[in-house]
Amino acid sequence: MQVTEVRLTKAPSEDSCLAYGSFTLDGDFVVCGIRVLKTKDGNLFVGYPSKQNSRGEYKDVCFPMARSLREDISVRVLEEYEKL
Amino acid sequence: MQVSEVRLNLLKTDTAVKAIGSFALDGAFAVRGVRVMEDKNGHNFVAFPSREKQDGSYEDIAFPLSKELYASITGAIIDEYKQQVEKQEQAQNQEASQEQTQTEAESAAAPAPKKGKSR
Repeated sequence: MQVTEVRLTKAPSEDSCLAYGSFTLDGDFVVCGIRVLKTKDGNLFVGYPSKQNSRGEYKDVCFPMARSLREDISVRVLEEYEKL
Repeated sequence: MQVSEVRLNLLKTDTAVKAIGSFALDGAFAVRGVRVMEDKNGHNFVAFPSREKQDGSYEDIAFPLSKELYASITGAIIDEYKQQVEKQEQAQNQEASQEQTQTEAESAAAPAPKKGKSR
């Protein structure tokens, strides 16, 4: 599975969320509501869409299961973020 | 892209949502919070995870673009839903028939010891 398209918008505020947007897998499956986040150490990572459940915990709605796909997505999304 | 896994939990409610579950694409990408719904005419369809925006409108989080992938995902989920409903009905029927035989056996066995005691 390949990431064919990444769309990002810069977040207006200066907190841990730097950008938000969507990506497409194989030109066929869209995932909206991903975020580029910054840790306290300054490392960037991709946050997947999540929902608060009835216990108040946040659970990811959709996420990659294979390590190779996770790496592929984060590389492509962070590349796109550098271009912003 | 193929659906490699479907998991569903049937709900015991009278609302339009009949089951909630998840599916995986190619064993590499998981999507949770997929709902099997039933419309007024009794037709089943699949609702993809969505979130409410600040202006009150709803936006899908993860969804297919092409008709082919949409058909294969909804087909796989609804097949699994129908299988599970069938299994549940079979289990309920078995339980009901077991209870019947049990009550019959009890009613048949009950008078015997009473007779024995009285004698």
